[in-house]
Amino acid sequence: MSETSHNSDHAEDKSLREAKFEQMYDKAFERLREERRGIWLAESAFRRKKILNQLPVPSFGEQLRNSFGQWSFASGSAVGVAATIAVFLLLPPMSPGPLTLSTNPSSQGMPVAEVTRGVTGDNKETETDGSIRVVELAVKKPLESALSDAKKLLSDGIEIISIVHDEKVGVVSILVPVTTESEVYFLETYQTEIGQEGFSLLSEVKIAKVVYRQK
Amino acid sequence: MDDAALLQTIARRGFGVTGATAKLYDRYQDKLLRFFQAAVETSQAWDLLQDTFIKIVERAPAMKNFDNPSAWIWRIAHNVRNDYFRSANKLLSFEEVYENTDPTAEDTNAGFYVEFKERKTPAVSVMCAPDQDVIDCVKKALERFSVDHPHRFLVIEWLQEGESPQEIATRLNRTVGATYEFISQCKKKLQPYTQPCKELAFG
Repeated sequence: MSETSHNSDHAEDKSLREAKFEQMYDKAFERLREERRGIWLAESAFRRKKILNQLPVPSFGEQLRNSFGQWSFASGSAVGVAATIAVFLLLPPMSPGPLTLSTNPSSQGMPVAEVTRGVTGDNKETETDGSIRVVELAVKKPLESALSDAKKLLSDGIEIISIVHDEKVGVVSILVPVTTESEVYFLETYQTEIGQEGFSLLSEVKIAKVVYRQK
Repeated sequence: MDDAALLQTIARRGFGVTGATAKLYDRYQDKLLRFFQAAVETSQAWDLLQDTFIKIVERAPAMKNFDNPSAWIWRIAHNVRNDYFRSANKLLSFEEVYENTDPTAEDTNAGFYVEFKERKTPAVSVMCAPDQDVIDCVKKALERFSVDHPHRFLVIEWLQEGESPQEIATRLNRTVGATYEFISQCKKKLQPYTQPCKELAFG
């Protein structure tokens, strides 16, 4: 074997070893991370809750104005903005309303059920692996009443991720987290499902739906 | 939803502010905690992480845009960490922390900083028993390195996670050129720690 070929074999051997060691190195890091995740899990959840509790969250009315104002301006409906803000300001005092939820007491009092998904209710999907659970509530009521329901949910300590009005199907969806995991899901859902449609004022809508989702 | 969109949701203070904060927390918690953990004890690191998120939410509405959300978040994290050290009279410059290789420097500064420092003498004669699993050996080497050189370990881990030198520069609040140099130093420092594992693996 020539010296050149010997050197080349040696270099190849070295690089193979380096590659193999690199794999071990990655696996070692993975083990480290797994251990760390286990150790941090409880503290992470605790801190997360603490941070979220400390947030300077505006009042319900303020949130509505902040959210709705922006959506309407995006769709160019200045009249809609004024009209809706007026409605928000004139919302009747909170009443129990006809909102009914099918609840599962085993889940911290939050409504939970086996999976359905979809804003309109007719495009439900079932998750067979059981990793996601959802409850949805559909009631026929005017928009103002749906907003009143939303107000009640807030007073019950349930945070509202978004209120979405789908004009095409006349649905108001009030998206509410069950767990923090679900909040993540809903934010994404909000983006993909309503896009730039926004939220505009109608005197009456056919269905108000509260969707609860839990991973 | 990307980081900028989450920050915009937080800044708007409308519906979704809590959800957006939660999501941002999920994305950054691990990275930021490790960042703080390299500088302070774990319990303090959690506190600093919490402070960082509160500041993110407080300051977001004042931002006109979030062109580089990661840089903005990391800048807040740096400020939170520096505020902590300043209040404890332990603040050192980056050079003092990372680049002072004079072994006597630690003694000179004794008492001035307690936590925000590196050990100067690596104890590398640890780890690998002949019958040990090589991956476990590497893991122990990394753990040891993380104790002796927490900041360098942080950078090594970011690299292993595939972060670019540019992103690492952002996180370290350094120029890209200086970061390349620092990365190279970190790799060199790590070598003696993993050498016994290589010997175990390949004889």
